[in-house]
Amino acid sequence: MTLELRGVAAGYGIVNVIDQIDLTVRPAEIVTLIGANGAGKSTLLKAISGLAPVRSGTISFNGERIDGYSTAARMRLGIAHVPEGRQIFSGLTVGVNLQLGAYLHRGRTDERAATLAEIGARFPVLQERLSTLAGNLSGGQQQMLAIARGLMAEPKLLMLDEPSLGLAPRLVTEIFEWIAHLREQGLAILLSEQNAWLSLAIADRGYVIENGRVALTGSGQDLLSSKEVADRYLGVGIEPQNGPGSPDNELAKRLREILGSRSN
Amino acid sequence: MAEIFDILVGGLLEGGVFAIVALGFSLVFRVANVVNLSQGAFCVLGAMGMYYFQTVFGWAILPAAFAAVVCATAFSLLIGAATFVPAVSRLPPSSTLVLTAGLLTFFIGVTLVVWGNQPYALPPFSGEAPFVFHGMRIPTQGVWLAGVSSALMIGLWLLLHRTTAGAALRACAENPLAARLMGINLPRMMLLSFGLAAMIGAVGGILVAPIMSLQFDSGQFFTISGFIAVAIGGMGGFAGSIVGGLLLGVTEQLAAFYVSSLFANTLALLLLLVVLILRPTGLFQAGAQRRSDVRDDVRVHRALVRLQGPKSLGFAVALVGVLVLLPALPLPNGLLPSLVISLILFIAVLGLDVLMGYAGQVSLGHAGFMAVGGYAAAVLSTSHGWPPLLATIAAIALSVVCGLLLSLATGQLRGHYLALATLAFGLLIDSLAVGLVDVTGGPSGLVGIPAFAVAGFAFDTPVRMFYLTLGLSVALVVMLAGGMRLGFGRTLKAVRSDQLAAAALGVNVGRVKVVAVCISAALAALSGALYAFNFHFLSPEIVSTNRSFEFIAMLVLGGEGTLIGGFFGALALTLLPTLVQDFAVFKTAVEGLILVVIFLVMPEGLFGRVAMWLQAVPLPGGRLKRMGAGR
Repeated sequence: MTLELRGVAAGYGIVNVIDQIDLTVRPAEIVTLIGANGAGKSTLLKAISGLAPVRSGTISFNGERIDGYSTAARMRLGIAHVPEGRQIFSGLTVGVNLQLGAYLHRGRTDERAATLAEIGARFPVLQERLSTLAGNLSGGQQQMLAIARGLMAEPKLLMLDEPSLGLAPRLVTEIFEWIAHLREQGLAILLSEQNAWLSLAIADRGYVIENGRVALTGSGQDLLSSKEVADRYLGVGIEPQNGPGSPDNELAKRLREILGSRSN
Repeated sequence: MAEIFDILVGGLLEGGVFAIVALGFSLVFRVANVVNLSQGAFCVLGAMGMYYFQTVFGWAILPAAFAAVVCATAFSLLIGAATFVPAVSRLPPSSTLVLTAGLLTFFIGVTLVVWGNQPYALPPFSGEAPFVFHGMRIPTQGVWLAGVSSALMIGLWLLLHRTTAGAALRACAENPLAARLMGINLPRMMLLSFGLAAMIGAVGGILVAPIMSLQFDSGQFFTISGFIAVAIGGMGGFAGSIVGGLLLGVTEQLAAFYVSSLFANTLALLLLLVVLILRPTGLFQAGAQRRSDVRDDVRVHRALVRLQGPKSLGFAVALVGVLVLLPALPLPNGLLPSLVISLILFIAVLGLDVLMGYAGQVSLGHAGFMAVGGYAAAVLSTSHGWPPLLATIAAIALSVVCGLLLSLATGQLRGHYLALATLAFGLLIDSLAVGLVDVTGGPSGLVGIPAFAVAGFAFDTPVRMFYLTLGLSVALVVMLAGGMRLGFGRTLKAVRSDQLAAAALGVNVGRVKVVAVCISAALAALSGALYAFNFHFLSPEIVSTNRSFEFIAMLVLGGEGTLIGGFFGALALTLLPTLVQDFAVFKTAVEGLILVVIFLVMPEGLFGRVAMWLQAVPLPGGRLKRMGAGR
């Protein structure tokens, strides 16, 4: 599984929100997009999943050109998109939300049940509350549900848009642990985050998006230690790698411990 | 005792059909978040198919019913795929609502072409003899109706709650964006719900055709009754739809028996208005409510195209100049009276433009204000001998009071519910015009209304009326165009774009909406009064809900939010039937079709198109303003 974007431009109305984007995601790789609000990270993910029309350039998935495909066709190839703000079906139960996650595999009942059992084991909180209305879950549980629903489609590439938004630091760590764990299982992950510390800490590679273009790219470690990234996204005056004991910094350190050698 | 039993049975029978139509409403509303006003037409389409298969071709009941349902459903799928589905994915819900009103008009027109204007009735399925139980007589058709509607309700519930397709249907209503990300084909689901609702409607029509005789415009009756039922019961809830339908049927039968059949509708509409105002979500809590914070960046407000600067002034001067000189030219017979009608209707459309085009509030009951104004002016000047000018001013004042009351009562309502409340208002005035026989002359109308006169000068010839209406129109357009350039116009546009954001900027949204409603009510009343004085006659048909739909068609055809655009719409729709008198039977179908097609392919309207052409002419200073075409 390889996702390749070449010179992609996309947007709404007459404005291109992103332009000339080159980007690659390889199998079992975590790639993170960092950038300010409005830089175009979400639009980039939407262009890949087919929610935002691609104006120029090409998107290919495993060598197959997909930029003309419908969203459903792209999902069928193995792309899952967990959108910003969770977007769960709050008026439906947790179980139905998960069932809809596997909508494209609706004919294959046995496999679906197996995936559901697997997900239930990984997210015991959800397993316990299958018949609860999704809107009644807490924010963190809703985010887990959104990710779990994305996984129900058994994707090869999982795109997560701001999974840490509005969550308590403890939950953020938990979610990032999962993300790392999913990669261990061979899933490729494209992550869009404003929380640059955390996302770069677990990422294999990262892209810095500014004004709809790729401003910088490199390994997660390189970006973390880059003076430019530090000034713009980690906080002015913070020394790369040796920042003061801010909560994010602590979390990033803990994550690096969890993840062992990969981030060092 | 036997009497009341018969009334109750009659009410339940009638209510059963309303309930079936209401089920269709709820289904489409739950999936597409749109009230599909064409729903009732499918009953007539089903019954019409049944008539041909059973009576004309002589098929047995079951195959005939099956074939009729299949044909009606297939037809609805074609129409739905061509109009409804693209509309839902491209237009804001309020425009889609109006588009479905156009579809309803189109279906009524098609039925008129096929069936003519006679009523049709089908033989009952199991013979005429009623089913007798302990001395109480129940028509066998009622048993069929009860059985089939229960089966439909259970079937729908099972489909939505026990199948993956049903979960996908519900997901579309919950969160369209997320539904797309699950790989759900949204347009297909919309079409599925539209077709299912049409199928349900067709079944209902076939079942009820032996009880009531149907004719070409019964579709509107079913839509309105079904809509009242669903609004009472709770939009989107199946049990609520059924109970609302039965409640409505019984209420109407009781009212018809104990009060007057002319008031049967009035009481039902009052019940609806009270429910809408006190409990907009209906008596029964509807199922899933769509999250209002879900952003849908696919659907944008329609593009408004306006001319600005010297070009607009030049255009206006040229247009008025041509119109002023018209009566001096050798015109074909009947053109001048048609122009007078266009101008009178334009004044009402102008009011609607302030409300819909500028403030963004859909009104499906605009003709109600025209009726209030027209009847008040007519009654005051005939029965009470008031001079026409004074009567007109009093009529406008009365209409503004009605507008004030309506907007205060419905101040809390938004979107569909507001549109539905205005529809209910229009229907209520409609039914009062029919019911208050002593004041309005009832269904046959008021005659002997004098001509409009100011200080003894009577406007009693087409030329005089033409200059009067032209002068009034020009004055009103100039005044409103001035007002729209000032702060008031900007606040209206702010409310149209985003009520919440407007409120956050300190706009008193409630007050702005009340003012917009009052302006539109005043102009509609003026139009109604002029209409009565021009024709010396006024009947409920002239100011019915059809007229409300026609106003919207005129506005949309001409170009919303342009003030002047409505004139071209009014002119086109008034001249169309006079130009092609041989095809008068097609008028309704063509009107409906125009509304639907304009919405889909030319959202800027006739005037918007003219403005775009004018823009292409290289003249210094002419600026074209395009709004709302961004994300």
